[in-house]
Amino acid sequence: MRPLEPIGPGGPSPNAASSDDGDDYTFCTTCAFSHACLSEGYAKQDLAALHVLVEHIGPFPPGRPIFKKGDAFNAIAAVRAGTVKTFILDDAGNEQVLGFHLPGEVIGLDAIHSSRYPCSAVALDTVTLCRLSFPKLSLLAARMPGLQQQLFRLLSQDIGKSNLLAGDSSSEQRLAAFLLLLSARYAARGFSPSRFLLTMSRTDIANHLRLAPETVSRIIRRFSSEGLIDIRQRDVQLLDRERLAAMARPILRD
Amino acid sequence: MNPASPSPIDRLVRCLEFGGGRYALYPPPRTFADFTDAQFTAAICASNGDPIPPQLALHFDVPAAYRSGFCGADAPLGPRDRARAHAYRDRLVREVGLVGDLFDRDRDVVGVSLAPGMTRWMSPAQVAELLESLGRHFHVHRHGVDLAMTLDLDDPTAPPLRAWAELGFNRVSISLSAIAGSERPAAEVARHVERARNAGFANLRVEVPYGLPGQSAEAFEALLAAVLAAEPERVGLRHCPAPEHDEQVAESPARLQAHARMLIAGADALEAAGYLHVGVDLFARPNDPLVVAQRHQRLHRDALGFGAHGATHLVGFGVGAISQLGGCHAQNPLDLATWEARIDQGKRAVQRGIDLCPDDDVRAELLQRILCYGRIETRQLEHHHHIRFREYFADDLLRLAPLFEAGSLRWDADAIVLDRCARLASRSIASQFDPRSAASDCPG
Repeated sequence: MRPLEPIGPGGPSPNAASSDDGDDYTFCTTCAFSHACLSEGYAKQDLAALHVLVEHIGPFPPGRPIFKKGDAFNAIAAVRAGTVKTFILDDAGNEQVLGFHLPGEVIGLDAIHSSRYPCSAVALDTVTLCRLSFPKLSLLAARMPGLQQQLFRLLSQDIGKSNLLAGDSSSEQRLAAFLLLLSARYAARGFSPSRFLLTMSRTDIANHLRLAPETVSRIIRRFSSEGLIDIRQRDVQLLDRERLAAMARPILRD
Repeated sequence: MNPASPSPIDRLVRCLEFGGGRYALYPPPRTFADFTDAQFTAAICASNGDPIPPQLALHFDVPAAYRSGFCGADAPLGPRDRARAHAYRDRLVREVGLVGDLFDRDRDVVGVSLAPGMTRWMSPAQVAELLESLGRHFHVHRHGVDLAMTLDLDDPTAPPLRAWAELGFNRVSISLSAIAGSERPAAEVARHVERARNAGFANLRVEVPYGLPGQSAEAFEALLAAVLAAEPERVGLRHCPAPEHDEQVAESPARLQAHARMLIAGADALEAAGYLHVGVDLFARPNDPLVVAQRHQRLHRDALGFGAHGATHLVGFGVGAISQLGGCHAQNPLDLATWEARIDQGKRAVQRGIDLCPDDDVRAELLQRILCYGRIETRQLEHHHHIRFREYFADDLLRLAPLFEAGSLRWDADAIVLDRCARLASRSIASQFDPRSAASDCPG
């Protein structure tokens, strides 16, 4: 856990924070893969075998591409720090934001079946990644059933995530669901569920939710004046989770 | 209050002793370093991406030679100056185009202000064209845009005031420095204020100079009484130190005493007449937009002064103009030829500035609280910035210990409260939270 305790200006925020580096047998605290290993009680040599596949890369400065659509896929990456945006360009060259990947989350899983990346990824702030060579990971996964399960689990989560914002919902419902999902995702990695930074721009949020940027601002202003959230620049605090959840129910269901 | 506690004048002197009388911006301009256009545009782009992008206040600066002071008469202008005004205005229009298109269309402009002296230098027709250019590159808020200018009283060739009022100016400052030495201030002030009212200006702010060389306390009080009789909406008490005065050096004890005495007498007279102290050097009537904004926690202070529209970003045009864009402060070249050359090349002129670090953000917010509200909400600062206030500001609090002893500053649960004297000297208090120096000079 990373409690939000006063230590200095700017930190510790969930987005700026990175996991610690771990050692041969201990993975980064937010590592997307650590769960598979820790819960399955692998032998030390198994952990070490998995760990040597992990390569720390970055930092990527804001705006730097991480991979482009069509690039050969040979590695899965997990975000250690920062936020990664994935997107595609439609036929007219307009960007469509697919999603945002937070610390501890995996990017590039949807490339597994095609051997090429089906989308592009860019760093939204300063990003560092863990990179796992996919061919080697596949070999190892054959030996470690738990790892394979974890991979499948991550894969299905990724698919589920992109479905959540589809459908015939109102702009308020979409934004409430978006905030609650971010909260849940931060919470799952041990960060504060009630206060976090919106590292993505309102244009990206609007694009992702298929809304106009002005609409995003208007709704956030209304959420703030109605006491649902408190917002200072990009710093968001969820004040009334119940009302947000009620609003988002048609999208989030359970 | 116990009998041993110091008098208001002594308490005010102790605050003023800290210097920093013109402190206006954190971090101050003297900390600015080389600043690229890429940094400038990145800051604007980042603020466009905020969930609720701040509204904008624009201001137009003029070369120092044409800027009016509030503490003395200004040099007369000739035909050559008028021609220069035309060329300068044209470049301002181009700068508006170069900068304006960087902002998202929904970033409403809620305030526009012209540097003091600009309407003395330029004609209403010249300024009208400048204001029209704003509409092409910015979204100017349809209602309630504050359009500010300063009236100069000394120019007999000045165009009719009605021409300015018809442009929509609704925040008008009147500088009294030209008549501060008048034998019959009451008649003079009444005449000028009536002229402005007849022209159609609704919100008048009269700047009353004090501390002028040779100005007696009686002369200041008579001038202020004349102003109060004319019932302007706002009154500024403008301290005018001796020309040779160095901001970095404290005033002599005798001058400090005189300064404090006049300031207290001025505040007493204003408050007795029903004005409220908004903050720093400004007083206003209880129904004034600034007082209302203060009541609703929407008062904001930037390098130019108070605004009633919450935390706006400031965008400056012209020589030496300062912009405050949330993540950075930026400044145009102070040298006219450099600014002209940049605009003529079709480039934005920003030359110096500073990207704000997390510590700058803490201190900038603290400065806002002191100057706008006369209190520091310590719990709120801790929450916003993840700090422990007493530890984080231990050095600053130590410097200010004498003011706590004198009762000018006191702890009140989760806040530090400035008393009336400390609020009258709030720039001096604010300057003590600048770790770079105890007293700092900023263009006011």
